Amino acid sequence: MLWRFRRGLGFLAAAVLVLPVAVVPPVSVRAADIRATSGEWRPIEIVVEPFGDGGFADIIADDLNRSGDFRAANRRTASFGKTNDADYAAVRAQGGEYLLVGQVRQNANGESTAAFQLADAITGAMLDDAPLNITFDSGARRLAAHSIGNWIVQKLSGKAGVFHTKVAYILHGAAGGKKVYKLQIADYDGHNAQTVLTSRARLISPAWSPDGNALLYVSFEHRKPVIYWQSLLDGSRRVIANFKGSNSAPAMSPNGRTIAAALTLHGGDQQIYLLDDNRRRRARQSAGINTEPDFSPDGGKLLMTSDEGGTPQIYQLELASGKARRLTFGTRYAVNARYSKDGALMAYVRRDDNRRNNISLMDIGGGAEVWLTDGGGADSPSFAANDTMIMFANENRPNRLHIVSINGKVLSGAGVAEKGAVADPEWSPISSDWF
Amino acid sequence: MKNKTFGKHGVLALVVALAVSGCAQKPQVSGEIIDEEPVPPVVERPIVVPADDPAEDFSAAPDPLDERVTDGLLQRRAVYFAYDKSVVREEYLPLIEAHTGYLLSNPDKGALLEGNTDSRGSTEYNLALGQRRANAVRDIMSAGGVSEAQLEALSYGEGEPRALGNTEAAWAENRRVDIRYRDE
Repeated sequence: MLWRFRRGLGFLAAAVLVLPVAVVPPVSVRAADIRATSGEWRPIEIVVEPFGDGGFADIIADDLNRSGDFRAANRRTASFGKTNDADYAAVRAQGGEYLLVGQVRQNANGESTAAFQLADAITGAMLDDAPLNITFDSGARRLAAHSIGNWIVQKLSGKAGVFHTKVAYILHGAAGGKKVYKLQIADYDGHNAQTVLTSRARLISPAWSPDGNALLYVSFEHRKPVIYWQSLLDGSRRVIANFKGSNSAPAMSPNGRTIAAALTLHGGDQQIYLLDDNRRRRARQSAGINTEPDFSPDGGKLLMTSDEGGTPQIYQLELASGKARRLTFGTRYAVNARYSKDGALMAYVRRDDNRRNNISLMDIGGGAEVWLTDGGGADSPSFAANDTMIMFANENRPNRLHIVSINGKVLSGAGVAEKGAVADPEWSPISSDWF
Repeated sequence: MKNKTFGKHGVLALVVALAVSGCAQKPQVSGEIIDEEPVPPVVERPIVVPADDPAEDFSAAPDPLDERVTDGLLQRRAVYFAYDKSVVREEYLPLIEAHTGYLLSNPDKGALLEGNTDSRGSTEYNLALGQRRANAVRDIMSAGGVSEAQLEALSYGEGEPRALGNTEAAWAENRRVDIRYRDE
């Protein structure tokens, strides 16, 4: 099997041509900060050989560690470089169940090839007969490593890997003593950030189109919140909602035909509307603020924040019937809910007994829930495309993306290259035409 | 009923006219005086701005919003709120009423009511909360008779913090509606 990767599929060139975009060159960020909790946990144990290329194996090991399904050690065993007669006893002594051996070689044309093979450290058997190869140019080195991580996830846990996916977020920076807002897209681990839009006016609430080819966001460039749609293929953009009052909190339906948004058409509190090509209809009649809509994967329901009961709480609205059911109790502050990609779970920001905001994960059907963070300051959760991890922002450590595994066992930070605070991170769908 | 369009100075004119008439005459003629009495020149001057005399420009009249003129409630522009609340506290009613009175007296003036929140919690809920705080101040002014055209309630949410930092003091400062006049 052979994969071939080159970075920069159209978007970079298109963005440079069409938009006044400053493409941020890849800058190395601090080493991954990954913290696994103690307690009951049975991850898949894997030892990753160094690949003979500084840092390449680290990318794979960091990916696997962040997922919460693996415990990956990147270290040299006695068998380094010997694919077929590895010292499995040494691997097992390190707790390893699997061993990933590999080597990166420079090719004559300037490209590189990573050859790798996965062995069962208990039996000593290779999982594939021959080594696999990925050839990549220098710009795609991280992507090649992420792809090996994806392959291992698929092979050993049966889930689709998401280490090649992206995150969109707003970077709150400064230039010349003035605030600058950047809508950026980066690899899920913070590398390879690209700026889609730079603005002196505030930007908030980016949201992906389901096909990953466009973003919705809110800009204050006209002094009030207006919703825009912007293509990531050619950089074109258009206004989605610029009605009287405030236009914000956009979300696109799974079929891409409807946009839910919070509007203040009649001068009162924010209310959720559904915007189709020619229609605008209110999703629900209720008192109080109704905002932060998120479509269920089947498109039939919305999660939303409403304070009709006096405090903000999460409700699930059935669009066909207009009936809403309150999902959160026992806190005075529950906001910013997102469906898991399979629709069974939701992650949201819940104020704990110490008045700190943390991420809580709830089984929507049964109502059971668990805390995923405990440090406070957490905001804006969104699920990875395979539901193994949740990305969020943290105002206490703002210059990075924060990721927690869905089982709550691994909390990791991923620094962003530019100075500034990361707000409103949104994890991308699993693929698009440009990454 | 044309007096109603005179605004502050028209109201003053009536008060002056009634006071004068009250001194000079007994009640039976007071109603007619309102209708027939031309506006006294001394208070008419700021209303009918002579186009050929810049020195008589309206802006030359003392404006109670100007802190050099008065140091009263109109100089206070901030209404503060409790955490996650949008109910206007009673202590701010005199301030809002003072601005209500000013807007009633100056129908050519318009005010922006700018809602803000502290930085905690969700960006979007804070945007909505700031809007509701601004709406709450707007509704009190509307109930006081200020026309809708004079008022615009908007929200910056957590986006324009006046105080930086994650302290109780900074958060409290940022839970606020600012009353800002359009021509300022």
